[in-house]
Amino acid sequence: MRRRTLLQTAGLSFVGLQLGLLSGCGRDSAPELATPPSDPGAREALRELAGRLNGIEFVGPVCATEIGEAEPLEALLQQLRDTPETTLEAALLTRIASDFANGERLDIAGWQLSRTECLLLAAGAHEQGMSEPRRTEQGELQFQQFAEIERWGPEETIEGRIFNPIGNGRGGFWIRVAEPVPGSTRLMLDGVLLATHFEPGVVTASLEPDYMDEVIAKPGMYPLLMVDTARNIAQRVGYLTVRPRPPAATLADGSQSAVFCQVERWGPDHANQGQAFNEQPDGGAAFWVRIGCAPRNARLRLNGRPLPTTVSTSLVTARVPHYAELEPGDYVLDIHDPDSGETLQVGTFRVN
Amino acid sequence: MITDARENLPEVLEAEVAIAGGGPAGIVLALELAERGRKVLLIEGGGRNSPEGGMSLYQNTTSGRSYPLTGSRLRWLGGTTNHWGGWVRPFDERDFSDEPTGEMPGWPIGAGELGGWYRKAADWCEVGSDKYDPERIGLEDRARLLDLTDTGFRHRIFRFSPPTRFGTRYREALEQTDKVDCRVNLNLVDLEQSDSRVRRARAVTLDGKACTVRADHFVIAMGGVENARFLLDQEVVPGNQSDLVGRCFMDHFGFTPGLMLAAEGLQYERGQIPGEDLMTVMAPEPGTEGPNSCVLVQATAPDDVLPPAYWTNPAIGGDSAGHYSLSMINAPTPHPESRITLTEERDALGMRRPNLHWHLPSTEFRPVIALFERWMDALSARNQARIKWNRKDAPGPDDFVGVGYHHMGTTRMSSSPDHGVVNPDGRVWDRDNLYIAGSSVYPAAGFSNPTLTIVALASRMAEHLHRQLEG
Repeated sequence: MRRRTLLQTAGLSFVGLQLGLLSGCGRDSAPELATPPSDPGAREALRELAGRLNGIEFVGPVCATEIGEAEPLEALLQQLRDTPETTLEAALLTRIASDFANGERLDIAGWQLSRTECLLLAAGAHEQGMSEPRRTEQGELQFQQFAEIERWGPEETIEGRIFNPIGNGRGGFWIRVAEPVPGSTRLMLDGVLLATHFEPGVVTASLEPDYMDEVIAKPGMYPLLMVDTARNIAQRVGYLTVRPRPPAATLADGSQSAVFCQVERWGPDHANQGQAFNEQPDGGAAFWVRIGCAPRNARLRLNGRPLPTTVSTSLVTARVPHYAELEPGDYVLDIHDPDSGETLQVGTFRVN
Repeated sequence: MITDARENLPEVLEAEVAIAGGGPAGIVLALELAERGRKVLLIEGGGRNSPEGGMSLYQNTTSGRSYPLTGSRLRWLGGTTNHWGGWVRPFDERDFSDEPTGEMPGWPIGAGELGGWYRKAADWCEVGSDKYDPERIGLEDRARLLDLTDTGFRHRIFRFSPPTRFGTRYREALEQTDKVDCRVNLNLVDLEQSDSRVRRARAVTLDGKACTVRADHFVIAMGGVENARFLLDQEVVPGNQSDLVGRCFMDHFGFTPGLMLAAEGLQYERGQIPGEDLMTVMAPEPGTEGPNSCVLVQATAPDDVLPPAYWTNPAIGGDSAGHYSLSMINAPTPHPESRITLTEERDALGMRRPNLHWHLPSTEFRPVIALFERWMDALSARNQARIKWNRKDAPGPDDFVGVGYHHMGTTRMSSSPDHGVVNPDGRVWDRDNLYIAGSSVYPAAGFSNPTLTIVALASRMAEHLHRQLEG
């Protein structure tokens, strides 16, 4: 619970910006910009435009300083009148294009703006009474559903085990979504944004090796969020549970296993000859072994015969394709890890 | 059939073609030759699966600019496709036709030479489509992209393999064909050569078993670093008539110039266009000055200096907006001083370990930065975007630079033995029956990931070897 509280706090304090600025912004036709630059009403039209420029709290005052024009509106109007264009909008576009083509740029905290554009912004700052540059305030992350999540994983791992490994010490999550999500979407685990990738219908995210080590070293519940960083909204995905590592298994020679945890229970331990035990939907037979941990390449074996095996976090299952051929008698069920060479006895399976 | 050489290794292994290296080049070459009825020996130094415990044979040293070499090589069946991201695209025509900057020549073959092989490579790599021309698939009508008309730049496409892990995906095919004798945990270490041919080779296991390999043709397909390392470790270095074995190491290097404010919801990233698994980038049109690098666009959080609201202003953007981070994948220059050499330290097989000296001078970033500036001005002039240009200077010589883990150029292909190691067929210039497969033969690399071309060239080599064997 301690972790959960901590994580929610971390998630909510994620730096978010500009919520709401994107909403309702369609292309602005700006009828006053249809005025010819030479028209006596052009000055007022330009002033009106400058007075309602958006998003210039920082760049407006900086442009005013950089340009150093006492009357930026007048200077701008004069420049626009020097173009052959017949509307203010066309004249502005022509001047801006010309500036960029000729390297007439100003660098405003890295942003490359045209000199003409900056003149307009200076006029805007003047009209709107802005004298000091002000960065846009950060907002808090808001929770809102924006993606239709069909399923996701993995939901749990064991202390010390990389989940969903993808090599080089990395591992991560996958989320199946019904519709494409915005490209600005990132997965966030415990307040940390993850490198996120998109495939058709799937969002994946990976943890850097150091962060993976940090997470799997501490049992607990880690909240996973899907965040649209552009809109500063988040959607809960679920929790990754890191379970404490169960005790190591004891091997037949009395030594402690380096790769297997103790078997908790398994089954079935007996069956009638020819009968599909633990019958599967397709009529086949299968074993299940509830075990604290097992390597992903581990294979269940029946009297030494490898079985098609699936290893998940705390469960190993295997189909028994040859169940119908088993004669009455006792069979040894064990689990073998080809990488370490270890074999762990599971139990004896009896066919009656 | 796949056999662990530690468990079963005859004194002599014989085939029409012996291939050393079970990565994508080796596997495709082996299976394509088998399809043509050829008897093939495929030798893989690693096992069937990840060794889990590291790959000490691949330990190395580096000098020059920092390069993460050890982690970028994988030694087991499937090679580096075992950690491949799956990005695929063929080289552009200009990659084959442009002369790279620097002193070395470019490709001796044209784009048309690989056309049909690229289609085959798309099948091997399990890519859903082999169409890479945005116009052919009507991309600009279907996706929300910037208007690049008259900018000197154009949209280009990356497609994606699942990604195909060649060792896993084609294991069954290798197991089932009786034409391929695939031996894992077996390492080719020596070539016994005459002046013009490889007579035989020696292969060993880490636990001390050894065998002689006899074949009509030998192919080295060990990887972009290991190909050069293997050749350099021979008593007489094949193909080294111009001292180019190991030289001209290249990788695609990254550069992250800044941020973009543009229309909201641009669909450049993978997974944004329903029904198409592709990613769109921007690259210079033929004739635009500069390297064939590309600009990648990724939506990101808003900037607090020029917020999205700025783009709603008339005569500037007049539309709802979003911010996008910009990054570049850059065409490398083949520098002879960027090279693999051998150190005196030997690995467990007795082979000398490699040192990579990665020569990526700061001057190599100048044309990249100039290209970005050209792109920035063109888009800004057309009122398509505003750009935050964070990095106007090249990284210093000690700064870390992102790479693609694409090892290329160390046994370059050339039209003359004076400028390369292999001829346009991939044959080592001074050996009649020794070939090199893989990205080490690339003399230039544009911005495309290498795997599709590796596979296309391997398919092409299979046909060539088949014809050679027919006489």
